[in-house]
Amino acid sequence: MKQLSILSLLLGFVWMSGCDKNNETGSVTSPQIRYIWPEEGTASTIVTIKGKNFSGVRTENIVQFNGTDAVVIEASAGELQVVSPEAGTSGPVTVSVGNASVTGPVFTYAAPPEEYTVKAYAGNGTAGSVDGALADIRLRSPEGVVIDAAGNLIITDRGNNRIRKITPAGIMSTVAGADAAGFADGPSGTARFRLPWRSAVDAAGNIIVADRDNHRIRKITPDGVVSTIAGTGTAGFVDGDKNTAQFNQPLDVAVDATGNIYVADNLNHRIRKIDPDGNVTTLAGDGTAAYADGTGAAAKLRNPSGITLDAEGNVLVADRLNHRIRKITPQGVVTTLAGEGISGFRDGDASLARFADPYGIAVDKNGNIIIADLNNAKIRKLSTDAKVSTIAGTNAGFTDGAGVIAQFRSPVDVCVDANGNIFVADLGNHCIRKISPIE
Amino acid sequence: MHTIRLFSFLILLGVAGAGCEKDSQAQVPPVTIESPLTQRIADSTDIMARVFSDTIFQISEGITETDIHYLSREGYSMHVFILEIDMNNPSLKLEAASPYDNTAYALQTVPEMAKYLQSPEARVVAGINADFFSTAGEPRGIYIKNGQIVKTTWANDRSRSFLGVRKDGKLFIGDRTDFVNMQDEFEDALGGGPMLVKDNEMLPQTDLSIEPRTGIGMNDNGKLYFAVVDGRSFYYSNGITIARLGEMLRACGATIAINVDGGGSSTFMIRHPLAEVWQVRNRPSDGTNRAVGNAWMIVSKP
Repeated sequence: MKQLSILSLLLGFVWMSGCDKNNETGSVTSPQIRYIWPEEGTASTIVTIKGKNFSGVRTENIVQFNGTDAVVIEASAGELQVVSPEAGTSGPVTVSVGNASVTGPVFTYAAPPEEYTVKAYAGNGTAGSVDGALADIRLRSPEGVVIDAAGNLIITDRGNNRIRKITPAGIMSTVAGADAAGFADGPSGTARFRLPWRSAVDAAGNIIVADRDNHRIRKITPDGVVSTIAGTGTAGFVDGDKNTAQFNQPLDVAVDATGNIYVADNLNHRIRKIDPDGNVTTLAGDGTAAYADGTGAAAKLRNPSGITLDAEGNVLVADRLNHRIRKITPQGVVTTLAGEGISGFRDGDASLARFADPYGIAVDKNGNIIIADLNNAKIRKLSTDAKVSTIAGTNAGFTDGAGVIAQFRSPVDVCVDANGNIFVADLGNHCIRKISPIE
Repeated sequence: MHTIRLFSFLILLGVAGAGCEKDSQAQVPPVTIESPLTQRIADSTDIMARVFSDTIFQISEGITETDIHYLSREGYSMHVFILEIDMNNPSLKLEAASPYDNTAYALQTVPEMAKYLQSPEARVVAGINADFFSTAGEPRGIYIKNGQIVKTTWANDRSRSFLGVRKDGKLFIGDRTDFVNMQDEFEDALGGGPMLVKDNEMLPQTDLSIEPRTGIGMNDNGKLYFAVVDGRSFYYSNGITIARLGEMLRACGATIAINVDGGGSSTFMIRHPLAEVWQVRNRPSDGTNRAVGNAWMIVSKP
């Protein structure tokens, strides 16, 4: 009988061990988190949660990132894969199955890295003068780029003395001018320019051109007729009506909503303003090449080269030889937005950042300022939180690819389209480059 | 005593057996084959001794994924991921992806390449690793991207096939001779390794090694197949020969198929149907996504 009881014990043991697994699956246990991976990342990162007692039925697992629901894309008892929510914030990850929940490690949101890719858009590094499809286009020292309301890219093709246009479909045509320098108003075919530098487009679709060596501001109507807005053709400094005003190398123009034109008047070291009647005044600068913030003539600039307007109607200036970015209110109050004032290359806080001949300027739809940093061969960004960063460019060259390896050769101007793509007038490579943000 | 002991022993055996009956059933649940592709592989090859799990789901219109966990005839655990893409769907296009979406040789993971290839007009919905490459990212085979012929040479004997997207959008799989005759006709083309299936016939293979593998096949009805078989992980998946990979693709419906880079490069990526995220479905054998030389992506253009 003793043996029998031993056998019975054995029997019991076999019974228990044989059914171990069954017992466990039947019991109710709460979820447990062993670890999450990664613990840091951007929104839309796949995060693996390792643990136990999760539900194999995907939708039965409720996962939250600091209280915000996350989408569970894979589920098994020991592992969940979830996507960090766009609206989530740094904080603990919680998993609930049924009525039981557990709080796990903290997931920390990191700012998404700013990545860009650069491509040759029009032109291939060889100078020429060819309209047509993107692959066939040839330019000669393109100096300016701007986008009109219809999404056309307007190019001031300096070396060819032409104003050209690339449609969104990628076909280039000549708006005005010919492969010959001169001065003539009239229909597009007979009009002539002498080193047209940059342009802007007004609310009516007219293209306003800073015609540098004619020392005039020109206008091209949508049907291609060219006229002169202001400037006598002689270099000088005179404020006054359209027939008496003089400029000395106007390099860039910007137009506000009411039709006032602002001019970066390079060798006068001034910012000029042309009202819709053609009367020219001076907004800022006193004619001396120097650096001073202040109002109107109390402010000083040194070869202002690029000009654009922000959403509030302030004039933004690439103040080339001050190596600074300036801001001028419509009332003429000049301040400095970025630049230590020393030629060089340094990202970071705007006041300590360094540029080397900032030459072209544009504003994106979020208010960030994009700068063609000529002698650094880079495209820089001054963000709304007063930090300067580098979007693309290393040393001078001609390389497409990621922003951190791409090369430009004398990037002189920039503009930004509605999707945040940046077009660069890459003068030394005789082409237009396109920088796309990677999201 | 003898009878009692025997009796107890018999009861013991009986109880032990009865007690575990449920258990053994739980270990091998009956699997219903869900995917037509799995059924075809089961019907027309002897690759799978038993199917442990079979899953099919739609990634987006015209693209379905089949995941199979099976026991190979040789007795090993295996995981395979197959994408069936309906190239007759007018919104789906096959595109060659490269690091930073650029033709300069470099290395980048497949999901990173997707980031660079994607644009507001072209969503990347799936991707797979493609050609073999050097440590500098130079593809071993030929290379055409966006109509630009970047490379026309083949690094070694293994590189002898390619997949191309012709300028009219039609796909073409061919060999070195085909490339010489047709190279101006392609918008995109990337090299591959041995041809596995041609004219619906298996081709004999000299490489008998068992590794993680990536294969690409297609047929005249507009179906394109991407397949990755994982390997180098005993309890999870043990790899496959390229001949077996070819059999699998042929069973799925491919009448022509090639092998592309495998091992730690094998990457099977989808845009997950539940979230805006690219997910690598397989488990690349390095433990992380390998930066590779190029990849094929399915993009959806509205």
